[in-house]
Amino acid sequence: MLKIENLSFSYQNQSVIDNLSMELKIGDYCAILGPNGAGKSTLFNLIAGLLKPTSGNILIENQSIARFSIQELAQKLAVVPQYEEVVYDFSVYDMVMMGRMPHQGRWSFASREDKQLVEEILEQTDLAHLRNRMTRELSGGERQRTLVARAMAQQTPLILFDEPLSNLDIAHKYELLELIDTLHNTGRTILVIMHELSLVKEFIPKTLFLKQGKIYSFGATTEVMTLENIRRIFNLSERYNPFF
Amino acid sequence: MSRLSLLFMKLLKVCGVSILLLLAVVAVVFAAASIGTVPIPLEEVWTILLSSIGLADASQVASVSQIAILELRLPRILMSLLAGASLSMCGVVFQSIFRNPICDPYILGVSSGASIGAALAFVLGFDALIFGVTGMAFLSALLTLLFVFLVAGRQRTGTTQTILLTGVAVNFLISAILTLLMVLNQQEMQKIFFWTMGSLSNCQLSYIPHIALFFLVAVIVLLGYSKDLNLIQLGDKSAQTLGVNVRWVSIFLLVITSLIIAGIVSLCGVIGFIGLIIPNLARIIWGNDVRKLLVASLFLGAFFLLLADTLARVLSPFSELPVGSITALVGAPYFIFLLINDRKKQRF
Repeated sequence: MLKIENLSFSYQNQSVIDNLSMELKIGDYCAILGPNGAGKSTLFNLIAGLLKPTSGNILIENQSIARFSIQELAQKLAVVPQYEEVVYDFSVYDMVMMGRMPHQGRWSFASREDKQLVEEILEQTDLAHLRNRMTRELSGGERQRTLVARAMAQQTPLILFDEPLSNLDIAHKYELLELIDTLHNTGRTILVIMHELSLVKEFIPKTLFLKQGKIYSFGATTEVMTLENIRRIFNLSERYNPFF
Repeated sequence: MSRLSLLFMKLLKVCGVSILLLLAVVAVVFAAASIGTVPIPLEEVWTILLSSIGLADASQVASVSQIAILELRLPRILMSLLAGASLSMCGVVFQSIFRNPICDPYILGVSSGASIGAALAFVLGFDALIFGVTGMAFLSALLTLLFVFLVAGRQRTGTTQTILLTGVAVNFLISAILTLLMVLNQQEMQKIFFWTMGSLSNCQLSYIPHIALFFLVAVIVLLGYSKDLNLIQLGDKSAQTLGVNVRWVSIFLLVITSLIIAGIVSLCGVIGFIGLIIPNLARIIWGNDVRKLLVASLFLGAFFLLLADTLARVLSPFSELPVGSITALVGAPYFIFLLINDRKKQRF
């Protein structure tokens, strides 16, 4: 599904991602973890096509993303940003409908299928009652759910989440993880940047640990999420227990 | 309230406002045709207008009224409608691309940039060439835009302060160059002054196809890219991950809007604030969907500029006022209101 081959990225002659290779299969659900400056966001932006790699290749469904137009890439991969600054606000319905844009022509309007899909997604994400609410009036959790719903409307096989739980209280964190779980159960491949180790352990089956732009370990969360690994990756003193 | 009644209310609001807008435009067209040094009754205006398309006989109407309407007032009315509509739509584009409601081609200095090109073309004698003035105005508008980007930094969506200061600096510079041009070419001073404070008084029927072309470009291209603009309003990253080539679309639309602005400035001079006030007003009524905003701004802009021009014609009994001063009289206080609002938002 997602294959990364010898990926490197340098910024101002400084290596940020260093010869990284990995592969995710269809339906994989993987967390990217690592200390600040490990290259998580850079890797995320490279996969999302927002940055161009210095060398190496990223393939989605066996095709290099460099060959996709921006619109084609948006049909393969959806991104849920950590936060979206609201300058001009839209209703929840309009925001979710924007997820259909990559599938529409320049002069076409939303089709009956588009409208039906958006209705279903609003129900699934528990946003139906907020359909006319403007984004500026939403709570943090509702705003985040709207961004997820918009990504769902893109109907892509791969969805990337950029620290989706930051700015949410614990109840909303669980609520959002349940929602991502439902998405995962529909067969989508999901990649999430996370900081919450205990929640990764509880919810996400695969984990990729990054350190200094390289893969430190990658595999089933149950295998790689060990106290020893965490202490080494985050240079954590033995006095602390990162899971509690 | 049920979903159906909400939809009904929304429809009523949108349709009601559209009909009201259209009626307002028609009303101001008739008023503009009727009012002037030679007042013409509305029935006569109606007959003359119908006769111009072969639907009535105007032989009973005095020929002086027919000349006044068909050769003097109608070109000016059409010019106001087309220029007002185009300027407002360009304002929507600037506000969307810069993600700032305080942006418009006038505030950023692009309109003044175009005016200096037009004035230079006139001084250098390029006005004899077809599109000589417009071409030079377009070139200098593009150069001004480039200058704005260089000064404001690579980030297009800078803070309001950076954008405003850049606009102020550009406008200062251009004003200084225009003054220099006027001093060095005193015999052409009046003509150069025309470009600094817009006016529709020199409008002729031959200008209409010219401005209609720019209006058509504005309608077709901007409506065609309205979906992309909608997504760009969310931010560059979000727009790109939703399939918009942000860099290409932004450059393309800024070049197209500069061309439209240059076309209008070369014929009417700099008419400020329309691209600022009208899109903001339209946002209050229609929300932020660029597709609706462009259509609403088209009507509102046409209405506003024609109203302003009619006032410019009739307010002073001694001489005509420049229409730019009327739009500025309304626009400047509104601009201050927007600035206060922006400051309040930043505080929280």
